[in-house]
Amino acid sequence: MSNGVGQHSRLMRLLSRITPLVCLLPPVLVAQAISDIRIVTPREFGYTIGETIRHEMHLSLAGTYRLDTTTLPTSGRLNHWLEISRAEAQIEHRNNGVTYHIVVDYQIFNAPRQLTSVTIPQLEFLTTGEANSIPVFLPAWTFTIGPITPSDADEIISLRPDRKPQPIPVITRRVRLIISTLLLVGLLIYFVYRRLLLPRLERDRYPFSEALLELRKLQRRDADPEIYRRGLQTFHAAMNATAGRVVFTANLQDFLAANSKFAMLKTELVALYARSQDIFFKNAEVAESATSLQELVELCRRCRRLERSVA
Amino acid sequence: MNADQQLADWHAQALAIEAAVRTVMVGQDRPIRLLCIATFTRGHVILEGSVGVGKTTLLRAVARTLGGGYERIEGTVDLMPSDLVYHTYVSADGKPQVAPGPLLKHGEALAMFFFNEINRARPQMHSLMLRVMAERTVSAFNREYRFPHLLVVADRNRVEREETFEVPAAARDRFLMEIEINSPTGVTLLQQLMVDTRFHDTERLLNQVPADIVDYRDLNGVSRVIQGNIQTSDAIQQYALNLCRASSDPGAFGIVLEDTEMSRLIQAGVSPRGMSYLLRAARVAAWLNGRASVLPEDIHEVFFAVVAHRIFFRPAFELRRAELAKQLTDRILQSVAAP
Repeated sequence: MSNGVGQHSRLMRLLSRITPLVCLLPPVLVAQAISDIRIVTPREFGYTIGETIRHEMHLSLAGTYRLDTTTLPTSGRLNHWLEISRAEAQIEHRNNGVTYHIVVDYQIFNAPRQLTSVTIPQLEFLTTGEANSIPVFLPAWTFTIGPITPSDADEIISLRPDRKPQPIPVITRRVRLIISTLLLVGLLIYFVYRRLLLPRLERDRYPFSEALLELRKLQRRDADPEIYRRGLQTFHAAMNATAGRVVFTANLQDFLAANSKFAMLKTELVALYARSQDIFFKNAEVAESATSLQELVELCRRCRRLERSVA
Repeated sequence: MNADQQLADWHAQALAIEAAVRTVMVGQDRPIRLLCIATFTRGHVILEGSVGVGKTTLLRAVARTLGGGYERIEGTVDLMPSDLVYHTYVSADGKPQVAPGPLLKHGEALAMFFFNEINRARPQMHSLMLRVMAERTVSAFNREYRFPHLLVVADRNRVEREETFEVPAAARDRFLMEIEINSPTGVTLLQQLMVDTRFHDTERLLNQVPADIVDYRDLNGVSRVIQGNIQTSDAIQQYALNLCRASSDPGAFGIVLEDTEMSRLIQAGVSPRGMSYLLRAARVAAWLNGRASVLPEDIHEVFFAVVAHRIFFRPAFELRRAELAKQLTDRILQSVAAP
């Protein structure tokens, strides 16, 4: 059934065969580049939906001429009837050149209601040498496709609807996605806990730790009565946070009774509150700020140790 | 005499007043202290409490220590402003006569006027009292009467609310304090009040209180000296301001009451007049506590009495006023830091 073109070695005979396949180039150039070309096509009739048609071209190039493989057609739909399922070229080296075995597979994916003639359009490949490029054509090819049902099929048989696409098995990917998502959510939760929640919990649970950090920051600045006042306010804030309410001189004893672990600092705390009262409410002068702030830091450090201890 | 010496002398006299009143009013140390603060702040007072707890006795005792005129009137639904200003009668010789009413009877010597059950009187009466309280004057008989030393004390019965006219917000704001007087809770005290015959005859009891411990005509001057000499630091001023701001917007200070939608609770907080009263009363409290500067404790001592009746809740919460006002003021004091 093959319609293959026979091999001839003589230049003129070759040229006469391939002339329709190349463009209007000087015949000498074509002869220098293409030493042989052979096209193999299958039968031209008796096809039905789903069958494949293979076109082969065996192209022998002389000298430095090579096929530009980027000019091969890409896979995909070609027209109403056909799609290209494969297009590739294999190279075979010879002494005086190379031979390309080009294969183009077409698949019929449509079924006519009656016998129909279909043409595969001409394909063009490019061969390039040192000085020029020479196109090579795979000529148009016409064949017939037959129906798979009688023309009056609608009346005598009921056609089944198109088969639904089979779902791609994605269970592995789905499991991976779930695991990745869970992992990501876990990481996010950990991040929120570590960066946002934990510091807040620490601050609520250990107010003196927070206050100590603040006081150390204040210590790095120049000694100043205003800095000492801010230090006192920081310490008071830690006391208030520990008590869950504002602690004044008047209810300091209640604080010590409710937070017995601070009882050992009673003398220092009473003195501090008295000093704070003098400074804030009696407008007493603040002296020896640096030393006082150091004492405040030391008291805060002792309070921090106590707040972390078990009562 | 310099101001410090003057303040020291008057401090002793103020403590003497308290001690004298305590002899006839047992178990009421806090109301006595608050009334004493109000007296020296020169602010009017609402008393609120159950019946029979000795509100009138307390006032009469305080009035006796101050000297000057003391008058009282009972709030009733048919009481009209003219009843305070004059009364008419037929004299012995059969002629109609017009005599000054309780408000005018003592003239400028009126030192204390007790309006019993003010919420039973009509709004016209409230209006007259507002003027008397704010301006310490009233117009009658084609002239203006002045009461420069007057302290108005009104009583509001909290048990009976039927057929009463609630004192409007504007009027409440003009009272320096609303002082709660509750029945003593200690068994010993209650037994003493029940058994001790000293308490059976109020007139005899009051006669035991030393009269005229101070001269009521000096009180305005002393008040000015106290306000001018008791110090308030920037920190304490800021603290008092924050307390008042918290009464308007408790949410901003992280104050939350259980089962209460905080954003819908407050209609209005402490007014600027209330803010001023708070610090004025705190100065007097500091002075009575023997201090030259106001401390947070002094503000705490007067905070509820000065502030609670100035917080206006939305109507949905007004029925729970007593409970909410106590909770809110407590939480404000617990939450607003000083310094």
